[in-house]
Amino acid sequence: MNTTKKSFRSMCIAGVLAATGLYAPLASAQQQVPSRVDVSWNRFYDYDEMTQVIHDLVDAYPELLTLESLGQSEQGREMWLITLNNPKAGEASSKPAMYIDGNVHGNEIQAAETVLYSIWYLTKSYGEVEPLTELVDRVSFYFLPSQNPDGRAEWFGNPNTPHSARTGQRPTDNDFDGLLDEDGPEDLDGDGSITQMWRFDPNGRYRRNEIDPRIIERAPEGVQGNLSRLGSEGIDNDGDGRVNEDGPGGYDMNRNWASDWQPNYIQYGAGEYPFDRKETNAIAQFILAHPNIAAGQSYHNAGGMLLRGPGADYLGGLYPRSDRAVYDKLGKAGEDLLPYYNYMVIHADLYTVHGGFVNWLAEGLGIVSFTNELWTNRRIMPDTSREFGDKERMHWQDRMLFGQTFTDYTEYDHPTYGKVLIGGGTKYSSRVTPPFMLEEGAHRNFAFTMFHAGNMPEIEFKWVNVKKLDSMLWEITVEIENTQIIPTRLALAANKNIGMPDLLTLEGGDVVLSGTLSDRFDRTLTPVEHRPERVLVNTGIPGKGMRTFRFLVAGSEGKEITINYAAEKAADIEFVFSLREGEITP
Amino acid sequence: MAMYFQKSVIATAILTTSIIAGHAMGIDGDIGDISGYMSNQNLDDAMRSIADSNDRAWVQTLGMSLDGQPIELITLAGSKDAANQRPALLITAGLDGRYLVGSEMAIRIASRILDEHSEMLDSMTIYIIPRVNPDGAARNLESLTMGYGGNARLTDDDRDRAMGEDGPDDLNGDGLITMMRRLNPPIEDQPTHLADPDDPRLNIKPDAKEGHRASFTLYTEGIDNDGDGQINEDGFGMVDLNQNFMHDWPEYATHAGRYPLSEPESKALAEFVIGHDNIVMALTLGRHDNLVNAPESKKKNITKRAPKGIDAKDVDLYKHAAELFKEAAGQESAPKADIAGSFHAWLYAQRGIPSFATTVWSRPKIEKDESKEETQEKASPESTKLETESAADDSGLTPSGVGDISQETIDELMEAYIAATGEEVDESMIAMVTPEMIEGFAVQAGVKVRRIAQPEQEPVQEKKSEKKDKKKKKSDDAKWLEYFEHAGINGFVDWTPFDHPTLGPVEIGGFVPLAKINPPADQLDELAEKQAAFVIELMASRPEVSVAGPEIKELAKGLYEVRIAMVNDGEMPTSTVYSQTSHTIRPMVIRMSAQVDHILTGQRVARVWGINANGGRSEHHWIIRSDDIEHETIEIIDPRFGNQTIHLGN
Repeated sequence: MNTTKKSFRSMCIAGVLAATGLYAPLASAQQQVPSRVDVSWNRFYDYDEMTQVIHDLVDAYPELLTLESLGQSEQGREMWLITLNNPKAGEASSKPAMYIDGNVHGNEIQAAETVLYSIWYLTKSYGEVEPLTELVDRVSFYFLPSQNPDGRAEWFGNPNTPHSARTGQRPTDNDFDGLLDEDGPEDLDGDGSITQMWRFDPNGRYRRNEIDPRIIERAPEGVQGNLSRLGSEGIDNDGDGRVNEDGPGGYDMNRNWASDWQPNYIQYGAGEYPFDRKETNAIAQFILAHPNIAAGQSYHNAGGMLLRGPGADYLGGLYPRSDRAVYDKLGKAGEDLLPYYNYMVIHADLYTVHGGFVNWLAEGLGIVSFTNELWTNRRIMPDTSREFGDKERMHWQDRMLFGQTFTDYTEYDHPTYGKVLIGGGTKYSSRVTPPFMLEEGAHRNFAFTMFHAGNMPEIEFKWVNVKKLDSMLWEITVEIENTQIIPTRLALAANKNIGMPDLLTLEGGDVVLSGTLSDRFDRTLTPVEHRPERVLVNTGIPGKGMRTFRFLVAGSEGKEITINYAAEKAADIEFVFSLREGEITP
Repeated sequence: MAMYFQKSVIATAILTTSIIAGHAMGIDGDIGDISGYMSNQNLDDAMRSIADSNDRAWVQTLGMSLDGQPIELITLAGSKDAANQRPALLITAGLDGRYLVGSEMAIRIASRILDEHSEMLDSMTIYIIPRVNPDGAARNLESLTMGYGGNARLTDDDRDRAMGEDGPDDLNGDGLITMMRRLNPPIEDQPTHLADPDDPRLNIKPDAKEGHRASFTLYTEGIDNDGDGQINEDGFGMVDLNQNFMHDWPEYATHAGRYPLSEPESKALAEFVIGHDNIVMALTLGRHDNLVNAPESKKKNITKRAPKGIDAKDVDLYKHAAELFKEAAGQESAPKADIAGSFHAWLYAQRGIPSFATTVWSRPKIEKDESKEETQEKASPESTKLETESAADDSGLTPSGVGDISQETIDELMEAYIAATGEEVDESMIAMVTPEMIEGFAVQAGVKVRRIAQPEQEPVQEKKSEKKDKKKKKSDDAKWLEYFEHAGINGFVDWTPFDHPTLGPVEIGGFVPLAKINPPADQLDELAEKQAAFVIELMASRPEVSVAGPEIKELAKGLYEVRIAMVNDGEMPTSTVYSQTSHTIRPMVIRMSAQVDHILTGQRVARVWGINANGGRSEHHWIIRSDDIEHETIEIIDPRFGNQTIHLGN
């Protein structure tokens, strides 16, 4: 990474003030901060519309945004990657970066809007909102609105359920009958969604609710039902007696990543091997090529969760305590910003996931990462003392959503089942945020990621002290501080040799000895065995902590000494001074 | 598995599992001789020559190595069009750059089959990939023999933010990378080994009981290129292809790659396997063996859902293959090597393929000495037994297991300790105690040490030392030296002094890289005869599936009972028993033409996950209604045995 000098922003602002004298006061004094691009946040964007919003934003903010495609999806759609950075404050790769994406599951659509919102809000805030301006100067962002553009296009473009089109769109033989995708669902009642089919069955366990027949419920004790559930709408396309057993795709790209990847029979949907999908491979190659990524977020729906790994019980002890403390601090902060969201550990609090994306980021690459499951029904009725059952749900969809997420039951003459009832919640009826609540959810999650990003390592020379031991021998003590929560090296990364250790170098004098001290008062150092001018710091600078180093340098007074600390996940820092006794203020 | 030759990391066991193990053939000249082993060009020429002169063989490129060398496949089949629709045997070699013998076997097997058994290719296809890792082989076959197993990937093994900056160096110009003994090292470089008093060519770790003291440290031949005090710690980096596959991929191992199939060589190989569902068995020639020694069959891996080695239900399959192998090849021994991340283990665990592995060659036994050793070894255990029994009888004291100290003494000391401190003696302390410690405590506690009396001091001591000589088995390395001498192979470079620029006086020498893995080239033909014989036996054992029936019974007008059975008359199952429950393969699909609503019993589409060997059957039974039974069909779709349509109308 390139060296950045401290206080770039203050230099900048000073310059502007000096030049124009017209610098406007803080944004809090403004009524609103407009964007150059009008985007509605009370609606969803299919793949094409999403592409348009991306281009509109990138075209409008060329000073902050660059656009690339990481490659094409299975069906040839571009994998859009937007870099947000202020190049005047340094190259994106020279700063710690946060990677934010979503929508690996095609049906988890509001992830893309949340990512787009983040770009929109950050770009319009730059230069207007001080903390975000400082943040954008200091760190960089890589945004990928949709990991699974084919799945997204399929979900929007075709009838689906709230859960379907999760997969990518590579044809797959899910039922092992030698045919690919030969039996998917059909929208028999033409309502634009795949709903449920029910069969009239004198022995059925279900019945229509007596007050609201749109509610199909389990018949109460002692009452004979007359309906049984058939499953999703569809016919037996391949005549094998089963309905909808092999639809489009049929795998889970969030099980296709390299850490703890397990084959299909242990982890459904994992693919043949990690990164065997075009989408996951394109993303993986990008992330591997950007070791400055120090934070990760991948949006999903639903449930209101902030998730971190490990994903399997047998990896339960993998994350060292100091790393868990980092996650805990961030997770707790997230819970405070996101009402009804819970910070959870995947294998312990949710279920087993092998080969998940955030697991790979954290365990394979040493990147502090979360998956947020966007939207929870608690937001409909936060007051848990109040009833929220079928009846209340119907009121919500009738009176708040004006019937848009429900298709009433109609009779249909099914080729193999005979007379059936088809109807139920549309694909928008669950998991997906009600559009009018989208912006708040997006903003709160955005705020969490900004808190996370702001806590990427920030190091500075806190104290440099020079003692003259002899006419040509000097003792230089250096304290380096990290003011943010995330360490420059996760303990897991240090233990497992993930990534490169940090490197502290001294040039300008002949380094006779160097080492680490426990603090500035420590008299004896732990020496560096070889090449003392290069101190490899495998454990990095801890979060909200510091490390102390000492050099013994041979040289004459006045020599120009350069100390440089380079870390993959922090902006490198450098300090140049001339050799003389005393405290030298960095 | 960081296996650099750093000073403290040398042990015999490592030599068989490490990547930078230097043991085999040398290069033209007076130390060893690697001529007779094919370079990448030689191998390519040989493959093409076979393909050019045989219409049942053709060569394809599967991919390119990091250095741009082609990874080639030669297919042997009765018909080019039908090759991929027939059951196939996959023979793979050269994943590990050190195991050159495998590639030599592979090419000779191809010739053998074509010359003398080409009719077998009408019923079975053979895919042969003689060298998956040409870059690794090149590093052993070109100007320097390094004993290099991985591919050409540069990695920063010592994590000093530089890649491949400190590789081995041929200091004595013999074309080999051997070892260095740093004699009388300074205090910071604690000595770890000494020359074996029985054979000073060998390095052993000091055994305090024998009165040994370490006198040197060991390094791989080379200098400290990057001035970091370590020698050759970051050679050419490299990824070990046999740690780069998905079954039990060792994520944090140094040479396992950044992710599974991160390397073009392993990826090309995996893609080939995935794209060829007709593979029914595989033989991998390299550093793993599951034919001489039975593979692990009891333990599960970390997920507890997959076997670590093989599933218990497949033990019979592997036993059968082992018997065939013993008869044909009679390899005497094979070392054990970790299979985590290996190719052949992936084939079994995740592709459902019966997957066999052999190291091909092992050190032949030298008949005479062996028998002498055996009788001597047999003698000693008995003599020990007799001694302890008589001791117990004579003195009336009970042995404690701590030297010759009696249990009674120990009990007294424990009581004294409890009396003095009020505490029990810690278990772990008891486990660690030595006779010297007992003597010390006894003095402090004022307890008399009573020892197990030895009936006769002198004779016992003699017996003891005799016992030692008899008991002391020759180490593996010693046996190698013996073998090399016996066979007239230059397998060892004698230790010669050298003035090292930073280490001071050293001796350079040691086993010739690759000599313990690859036989002299003049033995390759004979060895290949045996391997080919095994391959032919495997082919003869292959699963053979035929249809029994159809048997049709008219139960009533328009109502028929139909039965067929898929029968496997081969000696091997159609896939592993494990795959039949784990569903790691594409099943055979059986599709009845009658519509679902005309089928009263039976599946319209049935899946057969596997058929056992030796007459194993998969039976299928339908009762259908049909107006036109003559035109009903049963379609059988199988990637291994091909597709066929059975017409019920006779």
